[in-house]
Amino acid sequence: MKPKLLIVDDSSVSRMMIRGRLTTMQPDWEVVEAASGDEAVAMVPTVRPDFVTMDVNMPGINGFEAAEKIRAIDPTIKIVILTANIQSSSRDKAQNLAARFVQKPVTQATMQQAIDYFLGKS
Amino acid sequence: MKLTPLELDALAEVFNHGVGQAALALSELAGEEVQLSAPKVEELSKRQISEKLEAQGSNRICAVRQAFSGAVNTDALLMFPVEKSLQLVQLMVGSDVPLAQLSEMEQESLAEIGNILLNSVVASVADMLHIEFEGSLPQVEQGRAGDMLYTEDDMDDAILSLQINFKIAARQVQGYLVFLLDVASSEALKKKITEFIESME
Repeated sequence: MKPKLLIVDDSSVSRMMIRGRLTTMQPDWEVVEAASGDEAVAMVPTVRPDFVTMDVNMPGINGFEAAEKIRAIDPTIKIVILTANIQSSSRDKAQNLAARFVQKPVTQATMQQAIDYFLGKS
Repeated sequence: MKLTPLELDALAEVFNHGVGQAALALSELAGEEVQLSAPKVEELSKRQISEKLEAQGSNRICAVRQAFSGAVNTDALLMFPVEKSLQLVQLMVGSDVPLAQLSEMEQESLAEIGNILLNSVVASVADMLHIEFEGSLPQVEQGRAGDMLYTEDDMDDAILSLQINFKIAARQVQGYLVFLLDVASSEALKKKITEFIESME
């Protein structure tokens, strides 16, 4: 079965950039998108993603709250907090959720960090 | 509120660090060198700030506004001439996207660029001064600088302004980041700056 990534970001441009980078770097992965934390949490039981990239600052529940709810549904999903909110407190919250923190902008290098984490290379 | 020369220096140093982070983020997006000025710190009325911003060039500007709240509250704005907005969008999504599609993405792309740049500065200030900020969602606005900064009722209110100019020479893009603090937040910031200075001594 193909590895499945769920992109969670309220910005359609960010989702497009993440999808664009990822499909170039990992063309065999399946990619699905959610535009909010609430939508992502609702999708997880049926979509069953292996990996999640999670923005933080979104309408409704924020990315940390969404990640916590996703963890409660399936603790095996690997989550990358992919955000412009690069305060130490955000990094600490990601660590407390056993998630990897990767800072925006979305570039080849930042997506490589996320992919390496998903594949257990870092 | 009056800041001493030492406090002004410390404030500039804290924001300078943030400016470095913002420059790095913008240059990663642009793939080009980004020049950012040292932060200019001034205590002015909203009317004076608007007049200064309007005197810097374009009559109509585009702004990405984000409010950050915590021990200090600030309205942060990324401002640039309206006619440069598509160049900034191209930084974000790449130059191979057709112009028609670029226009469709304009608002969201600008919001995301503002989000990245403003957060780069704010995060640095947060970490150095030990403040945790909650950021609002970025809003994109267009119009005269004055219309974005004040209403008739509060145009003479004093605020603390920190302005940073940026320029990507290769793409002929320039603009500025502005952080505005009301009197209460300026006092709170002064206290944090004092603690920061004491921790250095």
